Amino acid sequence: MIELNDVTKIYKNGVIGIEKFNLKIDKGEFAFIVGNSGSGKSTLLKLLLKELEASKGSVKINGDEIVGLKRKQIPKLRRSMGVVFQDFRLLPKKNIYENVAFALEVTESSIKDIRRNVPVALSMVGLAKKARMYPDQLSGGEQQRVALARAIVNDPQILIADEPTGNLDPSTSWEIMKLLDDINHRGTTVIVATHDKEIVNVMKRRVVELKHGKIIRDEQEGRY
Amino acid sequence: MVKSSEMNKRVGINMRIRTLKYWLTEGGRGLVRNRLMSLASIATIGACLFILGIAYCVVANIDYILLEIDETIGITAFIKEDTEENEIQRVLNKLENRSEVKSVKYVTPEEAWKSFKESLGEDEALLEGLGDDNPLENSASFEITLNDINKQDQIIGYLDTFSEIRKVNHSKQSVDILVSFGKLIRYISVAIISILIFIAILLMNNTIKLTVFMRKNEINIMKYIGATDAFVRGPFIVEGILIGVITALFVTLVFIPVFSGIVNLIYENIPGITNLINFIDINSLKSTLFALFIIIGLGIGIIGSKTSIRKYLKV
Repeated sequence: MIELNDVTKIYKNGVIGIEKFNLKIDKGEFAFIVGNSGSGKSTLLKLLLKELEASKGSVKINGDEIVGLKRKQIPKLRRSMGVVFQDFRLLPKKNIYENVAFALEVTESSIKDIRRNVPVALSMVGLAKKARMYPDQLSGGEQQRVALARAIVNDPQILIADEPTGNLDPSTSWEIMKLLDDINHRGTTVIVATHDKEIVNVMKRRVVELKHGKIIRDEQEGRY
Repeated sequence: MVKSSEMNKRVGINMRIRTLKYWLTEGGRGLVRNRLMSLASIATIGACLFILGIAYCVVANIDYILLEIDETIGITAFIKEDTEENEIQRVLNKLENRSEVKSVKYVTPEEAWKSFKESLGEDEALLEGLGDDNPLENSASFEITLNDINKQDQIIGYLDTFSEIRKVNHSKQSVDILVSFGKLIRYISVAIISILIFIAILLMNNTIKLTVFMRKNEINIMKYIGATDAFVRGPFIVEGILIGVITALFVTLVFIPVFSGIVNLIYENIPGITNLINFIDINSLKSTLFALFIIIGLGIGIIGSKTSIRKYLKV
């Protein structure tokens, strides 16, 4: 599903993002990526999202090589992935329904698909009743749930979450983790980059720890 | 199979239409949302188009005036005394058959004298002492006008081959000056126009850059969700197009009355100028000016928005 072989990313200023990196995440897996700032977590996620181009090596997603992928083909790749960020990144001038529908609108889905899929995604995250409210009327946890609904509304095969609980208090963080777990149980591969020790320790899922751009630990049912 | 592919096609077209609708509404909204900046760019680009219009009108007028002069400045070829009538007719026919010649008029000495007297107007009394004598008795001539003033040298060379012609009068210098003056003005105008277009693109670029900057989060999100570059760019291009078209309409509406006002002012304040030059009728330039404004306005709008959004698409 996701396969990195001997991948190196060196930035223009000479800083090494990741080096001779090998990682394989199977379809339907749930994996935490942990490590300090500068360990290479962000570089890894950006390589998967094709925001960055690897300097060396091969990155395969669903069997397709994405190193050297043409600019024009990037949108198609991203439509097979959902993304969630620490800062939610909702559009303040659109209501909750519109924020989620936006993900389908930009991919030029039909109105029929939008009307069918948006309510399903919203009820999955438990916000069907708040569809007409605006982001600033919601709590942080609710906003992140909207972001999750937006990420899964087009039924992606992979969900990438970059510090999804970074701005949330512990109890709200748990709600988000439960949702990610649900999404994973429906067959979506979930990759979560996080600093949250407690969550990693309780969830007992695969843990990949990075340091200086290399994997120093990779455990099934690991701890932080 | 055929049916489903046809259906896909129809769905595809529907989606295009929806995308277009999205672009139009978002572009329009952008224009209104940033109305201050939109107004600022309409004003600045409008000013550029206005000066551009003036430069264009100056060139058009100079062309027009040169054309009129082309028609009035001619060559006078004086005919030797005692040339037979049929000889004169033969030369006349030959001249008329030349392609560079627009018209040839045979002027008898009597006609020459009459028109000279008339040109003196009230001062005609000065000539009373001459009585019925015609001092221009030897002045039978051909008055030749040319299609193209640059061909003057050729026709003068041709006239020299006739033994019946004793003298050729022409205003070589003044024609040369006029022609090179016209050229100079045209070069300067082209330079001014190019500089103005460049400035207008920069201004447009700045405006759109600001709108793009204010919406960079939105663009970022769109790119992450898998929007194509074209989809993201659409509303900004529409905004640029709207600014271009609005500016062009506005400038056309303002420009024509202002320009005819200036021309009338010149006519009123410099009496007799109509004897020297006539300005081109602005109404005959209306459609050209509007087309010019629209094309340049649109070009500036599209290029300006395309270049300013490029940076934010690299996500």
